[in-house]
Amino acid sequence: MSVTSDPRPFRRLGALAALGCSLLLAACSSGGEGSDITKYVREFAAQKIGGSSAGGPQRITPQQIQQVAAKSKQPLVLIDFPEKKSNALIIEIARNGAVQTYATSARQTVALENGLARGSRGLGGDLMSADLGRLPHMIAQRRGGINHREMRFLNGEDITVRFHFSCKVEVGPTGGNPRTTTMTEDCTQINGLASFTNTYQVNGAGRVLKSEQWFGPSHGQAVIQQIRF
Amino acid sequence: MLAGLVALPSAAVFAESVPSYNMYGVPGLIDMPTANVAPDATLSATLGGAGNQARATLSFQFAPRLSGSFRYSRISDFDARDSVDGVFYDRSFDLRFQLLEEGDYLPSVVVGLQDFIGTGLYGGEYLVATKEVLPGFEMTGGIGWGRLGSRAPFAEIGTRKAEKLGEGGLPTYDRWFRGDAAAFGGLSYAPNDRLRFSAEYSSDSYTRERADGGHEDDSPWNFGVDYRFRNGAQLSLYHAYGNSVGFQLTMHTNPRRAAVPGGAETAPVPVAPRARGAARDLGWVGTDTSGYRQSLNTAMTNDGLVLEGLTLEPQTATVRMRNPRYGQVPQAIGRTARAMTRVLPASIETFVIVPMVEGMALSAVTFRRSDLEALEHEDNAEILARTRITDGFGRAPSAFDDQYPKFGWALSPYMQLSVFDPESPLRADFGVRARASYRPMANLVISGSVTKKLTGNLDKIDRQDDDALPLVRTEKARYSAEGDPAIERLTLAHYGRPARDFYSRVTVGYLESMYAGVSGEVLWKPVDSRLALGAEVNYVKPRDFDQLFGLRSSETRTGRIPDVNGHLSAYYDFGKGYHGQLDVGRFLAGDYGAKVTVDREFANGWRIGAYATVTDVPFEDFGEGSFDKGIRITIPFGAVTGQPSTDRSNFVIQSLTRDGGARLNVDGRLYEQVRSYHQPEMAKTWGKFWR
Repeated sequence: MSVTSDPRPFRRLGALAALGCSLLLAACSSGGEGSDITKYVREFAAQKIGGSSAGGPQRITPQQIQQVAAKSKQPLVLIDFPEKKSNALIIEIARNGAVQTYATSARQTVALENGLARGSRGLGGDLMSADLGRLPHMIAQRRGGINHREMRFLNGEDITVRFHFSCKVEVGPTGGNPRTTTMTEDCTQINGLASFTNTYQVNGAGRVLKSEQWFGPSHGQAVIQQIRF
Repeated sequence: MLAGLVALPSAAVFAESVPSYNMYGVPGLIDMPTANVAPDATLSATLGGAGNQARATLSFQFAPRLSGSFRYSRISDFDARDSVDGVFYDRSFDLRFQLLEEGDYLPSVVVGLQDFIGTGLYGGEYLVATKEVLPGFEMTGGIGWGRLGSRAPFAEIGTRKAEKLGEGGLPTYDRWFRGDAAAFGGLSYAPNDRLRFSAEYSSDSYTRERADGGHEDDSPWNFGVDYRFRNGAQLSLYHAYGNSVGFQLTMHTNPRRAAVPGGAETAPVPVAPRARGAARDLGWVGTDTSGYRQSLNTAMTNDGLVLEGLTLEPQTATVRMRNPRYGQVPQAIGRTARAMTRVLPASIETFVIVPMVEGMALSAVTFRRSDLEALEHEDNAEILARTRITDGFGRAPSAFDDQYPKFGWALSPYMQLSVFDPESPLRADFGVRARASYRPMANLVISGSVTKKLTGNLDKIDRQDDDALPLVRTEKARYSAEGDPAIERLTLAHYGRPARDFYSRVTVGYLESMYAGVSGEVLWKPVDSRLALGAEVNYVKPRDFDQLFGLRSSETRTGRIPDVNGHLSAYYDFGKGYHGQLDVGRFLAGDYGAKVTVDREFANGWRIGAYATVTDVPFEDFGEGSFDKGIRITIPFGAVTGQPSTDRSNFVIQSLTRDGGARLNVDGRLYEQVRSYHQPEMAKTWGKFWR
């Protein structure tokens, strides 16, 4: 019988650890004396032995969206990272000025200003902050033009790197139901090779209903859909 | 239920930028070097060899133009003075410096010193140029001296001394670029990112190996093919010396790349801005404030932080905290500040966070709450500019009554290594280690560590050195053989803040596996200073070989171990990632001298450095190696796993363990505990403040 077919793999592991935590894999400690290395090894072993329950990315179903929407009255966003084949429903947990912070149940957050990406946390390779320049104003007024924006990330050394972009904002056609104006933002990095094109669906009140935005080199484009304001 | 977003650490790909390495573990063709240079901070490990030669090399690109290598080699079928059963082991150090960067017309030019300290068997110098003449097609040509000038020399420049300096551990400056000079060169062609074919003409005729060993040199032409894996590792197959097959594997890493840039830990809680006008409400003053403590404690515990004390005044809150989780201190400070915005009464505008280590208040970090509210989604440089980092002396609130006494324990496996013994180059002990600590007060700790060996062969070392110094470190084998179980440490330590800018430590007991006694240290480190000064004095007696409670006589076969040793230390952060340390004083064996350490440091916690210790012991008394030198590497657990951690693994590769220039290994030295809570370290790691 393989270990993974045990219906209670974690209980079995717990008994094993309690039995003799000096076994090479299962070091143990209390009162902050232990090292993170042994903890990591143990957790890693537990995952392997237990058979990972998080076997790859999960997709949100329309039923799940309805369930969550029925349960709370908070603003709600569906965010999808096509490159990572991963999506999530995120709920507003805080508001600071114009910026709303949305969170998953797994303690990951995305900060949006009228639907425009201002930051993320807990995704790995996070967008630490963004200075959007006049973009929020241009979107709200549905006006085109040239804009400069800055996006900041941490590199592998944990040092802040700042990407400066020059962007051309254009107003596209209006239509659809609900009626929105399509706006595009074409950005190229100043002194660099990065470039991206964001698109925004803006309603008559100047609010972004749906968008496709660049979240940085680690995550690429994200599709952000406002389910409820 | 919400599905979590999946963040997969993207595999770091170095394939394009790291050049091909040769059997010596430096950028090169097969046995010959090229003038290619690895990207800054590349750390490479190579295992390679052909015929009777096997070489293990660690190379590090210390600066954009400067790299260093340490090599351990094995030559079989070779009868040198120090050979064991015809097998000769040797250590060697190389340096390479790029004189000219490759341009449109000019080649890259590198000058190299091979085996420039040591016995000099691999000793050679070269000047080499490499140019990519067509895409993927490189030409290399160079001039070699010493070993690299041994085949068909075309000139003789001065005379190259044959006898070595000292006991073989000194820079062989009297030989560099002297004697016969010969030409070498080669071609390489890489049709794609995976494959590279190379051919070279070698100027090394393996003179010594032919004279004293079984090396046969049938041809100056060597041929090779490299395969590069997705992760950048290089696997090579060679045809060398006209008669032998060679293999090589080179792995690369770079401290500048992390498993997950910025870390994979969960998000911090958002800042909770106060409602307009709420700051005027002082209704809470004079009421029971234990609820605030409870909520703040819950929030901080959630982030792995410890709230040790709290004082609330109408406009100011002071938090005393400990950070057992975050390797980057600003992240711990940032998360504490976020929690404070969510919990504390609205009238409180000033936040003071006092981080504690071993009961010492290391700094006082002061924020205006309105700044935290206004800058949560802005560049982290903006909040840094508005943050005051001052001395923590006298700023910490007293600890809550329930914080101390505190008890902790841990049980874990351990491994101890011994390398470079020619009888058996790699020895190890494996076993179990139990540790415990008891803190009656925040700054007083009784702690100990006991090991029980399960298996190993460190006790088999039977080298006896003709030493002119007392045996302060070279009786390691006896300690390993008799100390089972062993008390590694059992000490009472007191830490303190005697004055502004000053830190102190007194440790009493069984200080380390070989010595017991008293160790006292004072450190001067102003909170915003790049410079720190320290003084340490130790009074020690050697411990019994069984490493239990007994002491043994200070008299050894070769002299008396003095009771008193100690150092004056200077530490300086040069900026741009370079850090230096100078320790001057009296070492364990009573020798006086200085130890110089230079490290390349990275904000994420990686450090790679080298040290040398020179004392008044004459080189012939020190024995093989002439003086103590080595390499040290610190690997932060957090950068490797993507999970926040204060754990770091330290490795010291000492060229030889001798009795000269040896220091006491007392636990808890102050500088490393203090500096990460001070400037300039805080500013360096500030990127994680809002993370």
